[in-house]
Amino acid sequence: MGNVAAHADVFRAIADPTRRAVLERLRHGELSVSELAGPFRMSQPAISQHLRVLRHAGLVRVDKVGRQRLYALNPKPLREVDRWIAHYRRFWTRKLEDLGKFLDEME
Amino acid sequence: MKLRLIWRRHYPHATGRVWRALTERDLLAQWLLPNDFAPIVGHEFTFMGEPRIRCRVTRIDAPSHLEFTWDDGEVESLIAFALIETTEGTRLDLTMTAEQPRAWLEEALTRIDAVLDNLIQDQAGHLWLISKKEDSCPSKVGSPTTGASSRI
Repeated sequence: MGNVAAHADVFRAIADPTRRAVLERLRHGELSVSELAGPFRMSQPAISQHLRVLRHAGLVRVDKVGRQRLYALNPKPLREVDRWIAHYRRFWTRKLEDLGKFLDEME
Repeated sequence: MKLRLIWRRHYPHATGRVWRALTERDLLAQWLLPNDFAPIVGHEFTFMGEPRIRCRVTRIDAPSHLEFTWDDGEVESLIAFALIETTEGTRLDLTMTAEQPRAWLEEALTRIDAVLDNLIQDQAGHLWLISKKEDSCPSKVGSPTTGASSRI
């Protein structure tokens, strides 16, 4: 499993809205830098910088296809983050349901 | 960076009623966990769960704001309840703020979609995860990010 430092990278990576948008776009398949840069009105170097952070966090990997470099999503680090969250989400979601039922019955 | 989880619920009850359920020891015990809570800032108390949860009251502003620390041995966080009176009853916002999670907390598996679809960021750079509507039973959930949920 991951470690604390790796988590820090993941959180830093997904804290930025542009990087989250990049991840969102990669959910539909591999893309090149120019394809990724298109809708963002950003330069390719700016997008490349974001991709570097995402790669460092292990969220994105690069596949070389001929002369092209294609970026693909690696969901594993996000799954690890989500695992941590799942426990508390389940607990409080159930408790707030119980609160609703209790309020209905309360004198 | 801190991680925040927030839940928003609407209850068709007066704010005073919800406030009592949050701040009266015996009522709190009936829906949350047995406890020795007292509505006094600085009061230290324990929720007798499995594991036991050590807490300290950090804010009491009747009838709208209750905050306490929460240490369950795995994570230290701040739990904040905010109540707002609405035309239909009461809106409850529950916020759990934790320092970055520790790796050994990784347990159950859910979906990656939940992470991407529910993340928002506030001006301080903190991440917020909004619990999904399907997680809740009787209540509405305020979800500012309802994106498509395609699977990866």
